[in-house]
Amino acid sequence: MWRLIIDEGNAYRNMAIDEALLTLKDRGLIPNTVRLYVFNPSAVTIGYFQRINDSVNLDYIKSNGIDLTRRISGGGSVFHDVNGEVTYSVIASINDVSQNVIESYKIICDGLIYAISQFGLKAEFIPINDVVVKNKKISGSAQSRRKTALLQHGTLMYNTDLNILSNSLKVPKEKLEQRKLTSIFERVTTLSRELGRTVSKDEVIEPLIKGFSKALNADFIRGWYTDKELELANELANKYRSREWIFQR
Amino acid sequence: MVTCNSVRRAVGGKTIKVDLEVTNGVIKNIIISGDFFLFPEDYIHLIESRLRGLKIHEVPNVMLEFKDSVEVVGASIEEFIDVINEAYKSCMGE
Repeated sequence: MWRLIIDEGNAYRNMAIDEALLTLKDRGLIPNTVRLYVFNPSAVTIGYFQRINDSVNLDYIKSNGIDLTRRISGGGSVFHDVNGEVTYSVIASINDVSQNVIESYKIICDGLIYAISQFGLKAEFIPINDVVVKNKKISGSAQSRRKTALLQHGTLMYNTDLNILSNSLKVPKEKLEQRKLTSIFERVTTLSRELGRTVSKDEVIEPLIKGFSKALNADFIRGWYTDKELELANELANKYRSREWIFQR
Repeated sequence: MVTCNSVRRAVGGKTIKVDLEVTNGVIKNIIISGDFFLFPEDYIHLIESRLRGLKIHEVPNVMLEFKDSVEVVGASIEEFIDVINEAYKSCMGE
């Protein structure tokens, strides 16, 4: 039996909860958990190894009230739109997913593919960590691992404002050159864009639950955090809002 | 002191960037950044600190020592070495 938590909070709290759950899962203290959550206010998260000045337009996000933090997971920078993106986290025993990193990305991303298929769209997993619809990225994921547990968190863009995304994130020109593309608009999409109508958050939650249930072969019980989880997350939230952490490289 | 950098798209699909500070042929500071995955993540600090104070020809052996302790996904230790070498060459004006 897996726990399902649906949540909303700021970037520091969201990233702190993910890390708290990974830590406690690795100690064998909590059940496998799927979180579905929204960043409120909108935020940019950058990968653990990224340099801030190479990945984020700081002036733009500051003047637009967009929060910023660094993840414990690698990967690239992400714009989490309060009105257009749901983030998922899977916190589980590595043995319940896969020892192999790429295989585990695929297993978990299949949950997104099933969810997207419920909108009549065909999505594909592109290793290492992307899900695309018609060759455009609609979801990106990132994983962090401890000895016995993994955390994979990622996005599903149902109605992300791609102008704000494009203005918030810097993409290395080497990446665009290799893909022979010129802008974020040509390589990123949303459910709303693909369907030609405005998709709401409420429409994507149930498909995501069904999708992850199928992909992870999991029965979910809707639940909430324990006091211990919240206590650890509260401590960690200070790290995620600190300049030392965010601007460390 | 000379500062320089090099960027490469790894065969595994991720970007590697190396920023170097070199003084008299010795690495004074180095930051290996990008959108790759490396487990355990905090080993990047250990790797960077082991590289500080080295001459460029000493880099490959030290980097390769980490092959057993870290897993790199989307890039590789060998590509990190290549990008460090490229950055060093640009520091030396080659």
